[in-house]
Amino acid sequence: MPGRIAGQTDDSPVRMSLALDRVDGDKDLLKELVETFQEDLSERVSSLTSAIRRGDDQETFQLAHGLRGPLGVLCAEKALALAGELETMGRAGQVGEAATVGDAFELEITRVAAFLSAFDWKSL
Amino acid sequence: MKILIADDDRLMRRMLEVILAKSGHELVAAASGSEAWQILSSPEAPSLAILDWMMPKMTGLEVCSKVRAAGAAVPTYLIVLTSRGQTNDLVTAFEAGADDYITKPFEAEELRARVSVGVRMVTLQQQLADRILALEESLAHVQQLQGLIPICAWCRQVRSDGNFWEKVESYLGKRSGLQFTHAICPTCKAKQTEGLKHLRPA
Repeated sequence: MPGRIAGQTDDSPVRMSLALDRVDGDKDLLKELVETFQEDLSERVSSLTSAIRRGDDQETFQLAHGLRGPLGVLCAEKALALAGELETMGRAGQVGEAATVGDAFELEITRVAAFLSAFDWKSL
Repeated sequence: MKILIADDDRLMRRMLEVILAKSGHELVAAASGSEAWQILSSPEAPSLAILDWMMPKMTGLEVCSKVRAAGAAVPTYLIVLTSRGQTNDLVTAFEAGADDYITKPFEAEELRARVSVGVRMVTLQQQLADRILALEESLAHVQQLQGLIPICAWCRQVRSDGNFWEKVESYLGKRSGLQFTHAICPTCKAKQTEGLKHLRPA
């Protein structure tokens, strides 16, 4: 398939070619953004899952909202959609019912992190 | 143009910085709403600001309201960054004083296009403010020339405000910025030449 990046399938948790378009094809910038994202990702996800378990609506809303920006930039579409759901539930005061969505988000963000760590930048 | 980027997310700030720096803009960054307000209320405030809606301490919308309440000769052009794309959210942003919005995630191209509109608006408003200032300065030098001006029927001096009599050119010069040069009209020249003839020895 033309334009296909090595290691990337239709099921990939991050669409690197789209992310690259989003930053004007600046590969160095995209790499820098990915590194920035990875730096505090585990801490942010851990805080979010903890807020969901505590049933803290406001905290869940804020943390999920905060993750949406970077996930959108990196075109991690499924993780972005799940973060959006968590944000909405937090805003609506429904975090008590967010356990399933929280688990799905945690699973997807683990896939995102693994994909980014293993990504071959030379293929881009 | 000097642009403020205010976003509590480091990744978003960096992305905005790199993209806009490539267009030659001078950038200032803030990681919270209160920091953004501090920069925008300083004497060297940027003319254009990109404000994330959700920020700690003060939201982007609260910053918009404060900037509008403070007023400025050339209003700061405010772009709100939001992941909320619904009509009522956007109306709320405009009511708070935003000039435009960018929905996250955004493309670099869209960001540049919207910032260009902002730069154009700020430039036009700056030019307008400069023209108004220049006009006000000109008006301050031009005093009104209207009403009845008493003029002596013999010597042609006019009476000024302080009941002093002065030459017409002095009176007009003070009130209009007009400058007079000295010359002689053909009629006067003929009269004067005639008068001089009588002085010549026979």
